[in-house]
Amino acid sequence: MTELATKGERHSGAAYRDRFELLQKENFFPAADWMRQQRQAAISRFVELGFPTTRWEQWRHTNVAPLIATEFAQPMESQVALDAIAPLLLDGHPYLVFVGGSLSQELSSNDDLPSGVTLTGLEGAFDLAPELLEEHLGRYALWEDQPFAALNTAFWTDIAVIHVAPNVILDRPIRVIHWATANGRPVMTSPRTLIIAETGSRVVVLEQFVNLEEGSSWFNAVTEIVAGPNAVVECVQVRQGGPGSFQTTFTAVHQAADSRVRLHSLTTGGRLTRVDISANLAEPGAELILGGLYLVRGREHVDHHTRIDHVAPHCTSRENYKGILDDEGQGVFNGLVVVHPDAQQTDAMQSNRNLMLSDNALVHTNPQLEIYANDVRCTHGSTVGQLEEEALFYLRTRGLAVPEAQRLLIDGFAEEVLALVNNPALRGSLEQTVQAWITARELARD
Amino acid sequence: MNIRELNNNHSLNQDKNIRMLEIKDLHVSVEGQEILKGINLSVGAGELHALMGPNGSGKSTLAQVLAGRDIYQVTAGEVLFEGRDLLALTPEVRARKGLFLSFQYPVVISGVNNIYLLQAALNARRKERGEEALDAVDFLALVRNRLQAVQMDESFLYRPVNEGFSGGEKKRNEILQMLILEPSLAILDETDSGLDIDALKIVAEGINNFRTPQRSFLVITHYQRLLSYVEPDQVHVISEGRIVKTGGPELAHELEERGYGWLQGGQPGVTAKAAVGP
Repeated sequence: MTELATKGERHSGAAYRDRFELLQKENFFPAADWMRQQRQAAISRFVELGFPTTRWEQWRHTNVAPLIATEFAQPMESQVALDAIAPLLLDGHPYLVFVGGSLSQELSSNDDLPSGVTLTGLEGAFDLAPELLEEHLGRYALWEDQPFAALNTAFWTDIAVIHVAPNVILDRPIRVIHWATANGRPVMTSPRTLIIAETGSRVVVLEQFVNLEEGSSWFNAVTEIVAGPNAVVECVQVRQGGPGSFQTTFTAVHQAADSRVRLHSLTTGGRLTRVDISANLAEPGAELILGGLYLVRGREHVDHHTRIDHVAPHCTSRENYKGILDDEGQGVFNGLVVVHPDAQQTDAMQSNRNLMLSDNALVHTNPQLEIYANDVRCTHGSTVGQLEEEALFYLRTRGLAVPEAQRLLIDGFAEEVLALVNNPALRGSLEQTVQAWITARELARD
Repeated sequence: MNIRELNNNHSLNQDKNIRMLEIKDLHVSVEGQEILKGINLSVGAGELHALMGPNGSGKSTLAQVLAGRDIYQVTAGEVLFEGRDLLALTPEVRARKGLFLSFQYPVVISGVNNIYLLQAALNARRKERGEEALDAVDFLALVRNRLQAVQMDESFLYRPVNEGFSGGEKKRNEILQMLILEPSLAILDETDSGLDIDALKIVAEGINNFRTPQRSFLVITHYQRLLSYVEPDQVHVISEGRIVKTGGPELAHELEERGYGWLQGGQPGVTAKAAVGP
């Protein structure tokens, strides 16, 4: 393993380049020619960009210095007990488990799938349809502008691939679990997911990032979602970080004509979490629903940056992000909607609301609209508030104790976003995660 | 089952000598300004008292203080509820022990279904009485029965509490909660205001069917209208933080004709009719 970085080089990312070149020489990375070229271009781009600093407009409120200062190793092969993962699995749902960025076939269950649905790691995808990978992988994630996406593109070792053939419908959610390993020292894991829903198909995916190991593990993930014409995709991303963990994830959505995508995000825990979502409504009639919930306590820092590009006319986007912040937690929401010159008849609504449970919590909220077309309907807004005293009193006069009344109000606040989840099994599992967070919060106060 | 059958008396107090509610020389301030200036009021078991008065007289403040709102400071006096010190109890304990406030402005609780709150509230009350939580079937049967009493559609159960409810629906929803929680003392704060005549009759009928020899009511109202349908045992007039007159049901009619003007300025003696005691 290469040593990371002399101090002066850290910000430039040169240490990561040195390590990349060494691993590349050892044929560590799976490679086709086009992949090798993409990795090479990505690591070069990463070195040019360097790590973001707070002088970058998009990183003003999120300082990644602690991440830069940490020496991360490559993930080692490691065993994760099935017991640890079992609680995450829903009965009868196909799933893949990635441990430390690599598919664990023995922990996965992907044989019970209807024909036309592929759920596999890199090896399986290569056997089935190499041309599909070449057509899509790395084509949507904006690794030329985003240093962390570039770093993932250089360093990923395996991929979760979900492919649904034209007009195939699968309503049972597919799960992809990315499990971090630590082995006693900080590890950088590079999860990578590619979801392709072909014309007229329908698929539901739960992508779960679990980073609960002790120590400062880092998930640097990229997910690409491609919805073909008239396809329907629902994807829930859950990020659960441990106290010392870092998470940077970039999700790119590309939508063809009349496709409908629902992308939900639930983030809890983690020392530093940065979530980037970039959606491209590329053809007419596409519809996007973005729902997000971030639950922040302790001294956690959670930053969401979303960008929706209305490129084609007659597209609709609805974005509803909510934050619940306690203790000295810090949140950032930056939502940008860009309506391109040809995107007439755009209908875009964006909302960010924050519930502050502590006087010491902090949130920066910045919804933004850039409109270059003249016949559009766009609204946006954000709020920051506390639990309403009136509501709390009302519930107490109905016999509810203060913690119970607070729980009801916090639940009620989150409900609007959870209600955007169509699939009942997924909605139920998200509700449980929210409940568990509230319970943990109550216990911490006792 | 009908409502009367379900109206078991859960009051701890069977002693006729202990009053349901006894307010003695109650002084209340908010932000240093005195709003209630020595209220005396006594409600016996099974009695329905009306508290009337012009806007700003302190009616709603009294209701909120009795329910336990902490933005008000009690600077003097005491309140006994079934003989215990009411002011020493938290709002939730008051509720569980059988005090119910129907809000003048019921609060919207977004994202929380009506039925969820009803169940949580009823279970809190039952636990206090040492009763098991109702199972889902019995609970739904009870709720359906009470819905009928206030002529509310079952769909209200699955809507967020008071969200998007009309004024009248909100008030009926308060009465629904009352009918389910079966309090020993119900304080109805301007439950009649903003109701059309049909809704008013439904609310009045809900109250009348709910009356028992043990259950007491304090009905706060600006208008005499509700009292045409609900017969009070006593009517009190509050003005500038004091009870300035107490009488029988006929006092309400007199107020309707003459307004409050003749009672204001703390001169209860000028009235033509003498106060009628219980």
